[in-house]
Amino acid sequence: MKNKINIYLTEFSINSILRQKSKNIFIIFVFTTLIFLLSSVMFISGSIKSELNTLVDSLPQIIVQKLQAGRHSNIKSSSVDDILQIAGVTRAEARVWGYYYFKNAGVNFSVMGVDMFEPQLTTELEKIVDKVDFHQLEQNSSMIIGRGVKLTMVENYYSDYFNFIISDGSLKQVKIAGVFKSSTNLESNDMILLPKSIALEIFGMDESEATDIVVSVANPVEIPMIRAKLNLLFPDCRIVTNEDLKVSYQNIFDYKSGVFLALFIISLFTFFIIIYDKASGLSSSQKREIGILKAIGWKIDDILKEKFYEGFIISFTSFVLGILFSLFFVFFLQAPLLRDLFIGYSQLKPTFDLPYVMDYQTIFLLFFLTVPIYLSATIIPSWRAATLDADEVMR
Amino acid sequence: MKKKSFYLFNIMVVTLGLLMAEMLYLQVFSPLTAEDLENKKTYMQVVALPDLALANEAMFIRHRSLTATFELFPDSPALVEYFPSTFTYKYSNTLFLTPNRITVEK
Repeated sequence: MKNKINIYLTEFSINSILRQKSKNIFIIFVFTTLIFLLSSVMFISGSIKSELNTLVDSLPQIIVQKLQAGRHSNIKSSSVDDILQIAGVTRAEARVWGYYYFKNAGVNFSVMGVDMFEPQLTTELEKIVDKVDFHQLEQNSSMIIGRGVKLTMVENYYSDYFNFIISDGSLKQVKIAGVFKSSTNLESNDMILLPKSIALEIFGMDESEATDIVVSVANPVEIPMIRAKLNLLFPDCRIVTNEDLKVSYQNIFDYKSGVFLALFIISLFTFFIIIYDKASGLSSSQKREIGILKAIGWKIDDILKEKFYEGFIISFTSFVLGILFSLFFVFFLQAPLLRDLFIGYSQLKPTFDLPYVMDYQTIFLLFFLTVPIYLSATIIPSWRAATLDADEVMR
Repeated sequence: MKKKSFYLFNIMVVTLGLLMAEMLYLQVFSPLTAEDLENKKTYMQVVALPDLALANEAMFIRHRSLTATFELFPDSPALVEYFPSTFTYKYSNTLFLTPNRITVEK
């Protein structure tokens, strides 16, 4: 029964907290805000990162891009035949994609050309597109667009079709056949999907050219080998694998959370100043309190226990409150101001729901970074005072 | 149990309970259902372009991982890098065939 919580001691610590109400309320406020801000940013970045990492696996494993004079340039679509000769390659496809700058709104649309006649594509599109007009699609002169694109086009009075300005200055009218479902908004917001022939026309590219080649590999163990073979086959090309993409994502989020962390250092300092203030010594009244407690017969053990309860009540309550608020802020309110940190500032902002991902590692990290430090800052000075003689402390 | 301890105990139980309830609620009614995830995967298979549509103010921002290795003058030589997100792109370590962070962690 030795380790049982002493109710009288808890009662004493609550009274002790209430005696210094304003100071303790301030500590709880700073502590809660600190936990709230840190965990909010970590929740947002964790949520977006998990989204990226789950989706990168459904991409083709290797992308082959031609570089000319250090820049990306168009590759010959006939290179596909050479790539298919490599053992282990299940599929290689020349793609036509790029960006279309829409001057009126000042945004870049991503334009992707696909073969609209593949039967597999039709069934896939049925799943991800709202109200798709397949009749129009079959006429080969229409496109499927993302929600953000649709919104921008409607704002500029293009509700049924859009006029692309092609390289010779003439207009290419393309009808809108459907809009991607809002559940894919995070990925499809700026996307325009249209037949390959139209994409070639808009970009002013030749039939024999492609933007890049995607290569699917059945066995992931073979990817480095195939990459090496591709490097030998096309010395002028850059071979990007899924692993490279993951590294790139890691860098982005390290950076984005880092920017916030830099701003956050100020509040972290406030916290440490409070801790320092507490740890550097007790005020004379607090010291006298410890002395009186010793004089009336409290053991050092009891005093430390009481101080521990005091610190624990404050730090644990603030920690739980911080996590509670940040979960509410991020996943219920969808992080109103903070998520702009992770979004660009163009007009084509995606509206999306942050998927709920619980990163327990982060929570434990935050817990062990703050709560034990606070506890030690309360206990150590009281231990120093409590080990002295009662009359010496009171004097 | 004394009155104040009783209140404290209740407050702690209520906040912890709220936290649990919140986590449970998010777990069950998560905005991302299995169907949504399936849709997203199908979308990725159709389009096969990486990166999210989070930023598109300049052409080198979306699908950053696919643009040139060192994007110094992507639009015109006069354009200096000024979007915060343009600084984020770092070339892959595997470019020089040194093991990268993710492969090492695996």
